[in-house]
Amino acid sequence: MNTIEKKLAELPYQEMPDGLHARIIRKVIIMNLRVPFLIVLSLLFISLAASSWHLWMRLAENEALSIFKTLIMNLEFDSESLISAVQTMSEVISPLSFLIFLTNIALVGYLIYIYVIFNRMSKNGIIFGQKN
Amino acid sequence: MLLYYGKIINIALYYFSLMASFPQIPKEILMKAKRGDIAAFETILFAYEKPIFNYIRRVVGGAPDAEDITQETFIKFYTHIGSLDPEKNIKSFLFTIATRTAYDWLRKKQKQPKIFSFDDTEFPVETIGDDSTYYNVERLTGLEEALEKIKPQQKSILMLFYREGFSYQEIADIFNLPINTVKTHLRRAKQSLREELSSQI
Repeated sequence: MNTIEKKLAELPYQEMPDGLHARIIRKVIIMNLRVPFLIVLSLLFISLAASSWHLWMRLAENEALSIFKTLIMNLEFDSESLISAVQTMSEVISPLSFLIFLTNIALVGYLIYIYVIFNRMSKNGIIFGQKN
Repeated sequence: MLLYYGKIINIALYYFSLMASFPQIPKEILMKAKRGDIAAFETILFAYEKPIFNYIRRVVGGAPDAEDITQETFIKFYTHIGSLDPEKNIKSFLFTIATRTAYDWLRKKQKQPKIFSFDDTEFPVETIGDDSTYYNVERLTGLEEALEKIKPQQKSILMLFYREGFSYQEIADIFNLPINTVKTHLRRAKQSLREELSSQI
């Protein structure tokens, strides 16, 4: 083997840049989390759809809209009147169903928000340290 | 006689060092990595990140860009490892991805898709023997500087053959070329390098 070939074979390796190994592993871990995240989001969407449908059926069954309209028109801002209004509403729609509905909206909204922020940060190289 | 045995020992040590650079990945680690096991992937990453990074660094000519390309190479490797035949060489698979990723990056950066064609009529094919007048210039320093000046595909082929120890067949598989074409391009690449080195005198 002549000199130039020997020198090519012996070209030194530069050390890995700081953090590159960790960035690669981080990206792989997050890639692995993407599918479970989307599954959770899909299940929450299904739950939101189910609770929305349930609420809508309850409202439609009991002509709730006209009841609520009457309540609001006759509402007086004293404690007895308010308590009575709440009790009437809770006979139409159970507070638990309403709470589940609100929780689903909050969770879905929050997860979408996290997803959008995360995508923006990874495009800007904040999470994976990519240089643009 | 002593010189002859010395030469044999040198060649043996050279090949030993090549083997030591690339530890054999146990098949079970590879199978786990194929199933998405991150710890197994990290074992492979530890084994190959430095050679891959340095190969890319030399091909694209800069460490900052080489970092992004190295990251992209290993992500592609992780994504496509499911399609790797366990009987095949993981080293070739990785360097194939690295080469293509580096070339894609260079094409986008330079916006000249044809620059990476191997059809190069600029350098006529010559046979350069060991007793050639060019031989003496090989002793000069500035090899890395000369490497920077030759074409990326010539750098690739020199690095893959000499530094990383790939065979002609493996290089032919990486570039999807016939073996004789690889030999021709390797000869041309060496000639280009020698001409750059001689211009440094």
